[in-house]
Amino acid sequence: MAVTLDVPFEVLRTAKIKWDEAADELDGNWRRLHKSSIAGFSAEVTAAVEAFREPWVDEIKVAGERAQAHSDEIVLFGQRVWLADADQAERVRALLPWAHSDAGIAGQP
Amino acid sequence: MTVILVPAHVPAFRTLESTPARALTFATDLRAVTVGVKDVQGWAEGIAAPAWQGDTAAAHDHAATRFARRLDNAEAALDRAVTAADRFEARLTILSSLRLRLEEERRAVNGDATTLRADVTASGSAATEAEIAVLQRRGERLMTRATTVIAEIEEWVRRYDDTEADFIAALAGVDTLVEGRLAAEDPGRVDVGPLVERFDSLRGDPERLNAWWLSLTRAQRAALSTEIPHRVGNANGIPARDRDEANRAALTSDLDYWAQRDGDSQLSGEERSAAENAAHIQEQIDEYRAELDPLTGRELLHLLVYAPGSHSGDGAVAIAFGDPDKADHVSVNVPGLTSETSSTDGNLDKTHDLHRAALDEDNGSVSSIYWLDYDAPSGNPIKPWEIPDLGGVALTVKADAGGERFADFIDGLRGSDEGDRAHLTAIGHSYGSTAVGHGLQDGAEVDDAILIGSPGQPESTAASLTDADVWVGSKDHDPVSLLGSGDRGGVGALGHDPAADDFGGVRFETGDGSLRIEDLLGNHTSYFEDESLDNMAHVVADNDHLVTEQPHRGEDGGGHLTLSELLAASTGASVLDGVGTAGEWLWEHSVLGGIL
Amino acid sequence: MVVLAGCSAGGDTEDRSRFEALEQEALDVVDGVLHDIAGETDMAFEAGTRATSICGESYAPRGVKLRVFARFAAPAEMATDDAMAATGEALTGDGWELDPQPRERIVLATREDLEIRFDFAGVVQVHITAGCIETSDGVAREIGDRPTKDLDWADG
Repeated sequence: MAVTLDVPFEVLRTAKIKWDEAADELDGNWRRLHKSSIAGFSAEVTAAVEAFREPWVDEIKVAGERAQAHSDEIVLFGQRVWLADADQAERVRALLPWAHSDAGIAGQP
Repeated sequence: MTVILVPAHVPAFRTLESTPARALTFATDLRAVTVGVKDVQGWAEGIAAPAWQGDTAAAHDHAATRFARRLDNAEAALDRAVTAADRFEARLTILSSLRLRLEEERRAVNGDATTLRADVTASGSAATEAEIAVLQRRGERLMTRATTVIAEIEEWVRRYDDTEADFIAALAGVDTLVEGRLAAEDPGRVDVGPLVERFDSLRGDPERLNAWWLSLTRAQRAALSTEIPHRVGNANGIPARDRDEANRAALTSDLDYWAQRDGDSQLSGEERSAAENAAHIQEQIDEYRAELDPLTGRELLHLLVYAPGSHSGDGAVAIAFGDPDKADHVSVNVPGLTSETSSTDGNLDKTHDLHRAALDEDNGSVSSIYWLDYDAPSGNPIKPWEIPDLGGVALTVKADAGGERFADFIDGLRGSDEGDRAHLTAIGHSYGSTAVGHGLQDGAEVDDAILIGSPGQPESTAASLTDADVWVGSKDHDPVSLLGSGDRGGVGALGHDPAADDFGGVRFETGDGSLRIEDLLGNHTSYFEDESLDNMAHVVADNDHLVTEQPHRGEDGGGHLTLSELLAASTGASVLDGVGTAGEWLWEHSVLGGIL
Repeated sequence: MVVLAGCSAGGDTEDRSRFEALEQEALDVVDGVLHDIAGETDMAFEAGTRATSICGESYAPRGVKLRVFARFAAPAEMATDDAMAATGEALTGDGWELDPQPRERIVLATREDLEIRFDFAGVVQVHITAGCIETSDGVAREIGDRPTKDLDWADG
């Protein structure tokens, strides 16, 4: 089956790289937030910092994992993008800049 | 019965549990996280559906748009937390200074009370009425002091509790995902886009940038510092403290990002070079992290320039000991050939030595800055005309460009200076002195300029170079200092010898240095020691009258060897000294032969 | 200035040993008289580092500089002047020679190649340093590149 997405290859390649970079950046961010220094703060301040950190560490971690999944979704072989079916083509299209949000998908049933 | 009131000891009061230094460390972490999240969110926002385009359902189906919107909630929460942390740290800084004063007074009152009690006991029943009256007056004064300090301590404790409570409340206001969304939707949220535009339009005009920056709210400044940390941190005119915070955030964020990239084996060559430079800077911060500015309780070190990828990969860095905006005296020293970010360590140590020596002049507060934000050529300092970096282009090109950047940096210090105008001293070593000379030509507004180990100046007299007082440190056995054109020739490729009599600077005492050939370069690299350091400290602290001088080259008592004569004589001196390794040294440094 | 000369492998070993002996001496000062002073004046240790750097430039390192730093909270009860006097006495008793005070609130002393400096400005900051310890260039670079370490402070 041949499913194609009417988007320049370079756009796809760049999107994969950018999602991957976003994943790396967010990965560093949640780790930094998780281990942010609270040494020497009073018990009350420490508790407030920990209460603040907890949801945002999780949120940024999830965002990073999502960015990595998005990068992984765009599978490149040489100069071509691998698309299993129309569903995946739509998922990949949703990861590209909005300007390509109506890019055609060929090979749909 | 005679009663003499002696106050009871004022008890120790609460320690500053949350210190400014600790708050800075936490705030730096928080800013770094915010920088990264904003970076990603900004990119995702750039590829998301614009709010005014596309139907809602289509935008919702666009994963990148959903991603950007959700991350915006985290960004808004982090922005609020950074602002709170910034305020927390600022208030702790004030409380820290206040506590030091109160603690000093408390211990003094207690000490005086102990003394008075002993005096009363010693006077016994034999005390005269006059003596008793004196003791009573001392007791009354001491009671007043004790009452005052107790009241001030109570006020301090209340302010400290408020400071913690406000910080806790601010964090509690954004410690759920829902609150993050509400913060993102808050109509009062800082719109950073127009601020960035205005910021960029004012860069290059330090005074106006400084005035505008100070007119912003804390939240606006915090938002800018995490939105464009590199630009804020390196902008001349931004207050030193804010530059430091923005640069530390950028540094921490960069290191985190590069560590992740390195873990994935994805670092490019340029990134690796920049990451190594950043790591060097972090090491310097760590080395001095424990040292505090007694005036503020904050870290002594301020990171004023951080650009690890600039200048052909050498990187740029400027580090201050003490806050230059608040100091009475500010010095900026510019290193010379071969300087790059990785060589900051030794140079920073010299700057630290100068800072301490200038403080010991006891003539006001001092900030000493190490500035390396120009492309210092690499190569042997005795053969600057063969330096590969220069590639046959005129020798002065990099010094000229460096001088221009230096003058801009000085403009920035003037722009962010607080209170009375600081007394400012520029110091250039080796090729850095030539760069400083070009900066002086460009109108760098300094009060004093110190040129040490200078291979040449772009003007033939101090008066034509600058209105500032010019001080020159040149050891006669420093071969680099003999390169400038002077009374006995000189190569002159980098300009005129400032130690020459007709240059018109004040040549301060440095000694001549050892004549052994293996020590010649050592002579060139030891100006931040002994009487030379003392004299520089006198100038930096504006104690000019303490400077000891030595004759200019070319005046009576100022006889000296030329470079060729020095090299010949020093070779002989080594042999005469029976230094067995001289031959080996000469072999290794046979490049010297090329200039004879 | 501490003078060491030599470029041979044997010289390098001597240079290294000499530096390490001096570094150990500085650390002994920390474990000895500095602990005594902290105890006597009731100053709580807060943080400290020990670091090295080259004396000159990368093309002429000349030798190594040593910097041991410790920071303490202000004396709990003792007035600053009394704490400074107690510090001076303890140092003298430990064989240090007190130097003229460069400015208020500084206690400065030397013992052979080491200098110790107390700055009683609110918090108390202490530097133990040696001048340039001349070594071969190779040893200077090697020691100068050593990472900064936290200062071990044993309470008790």
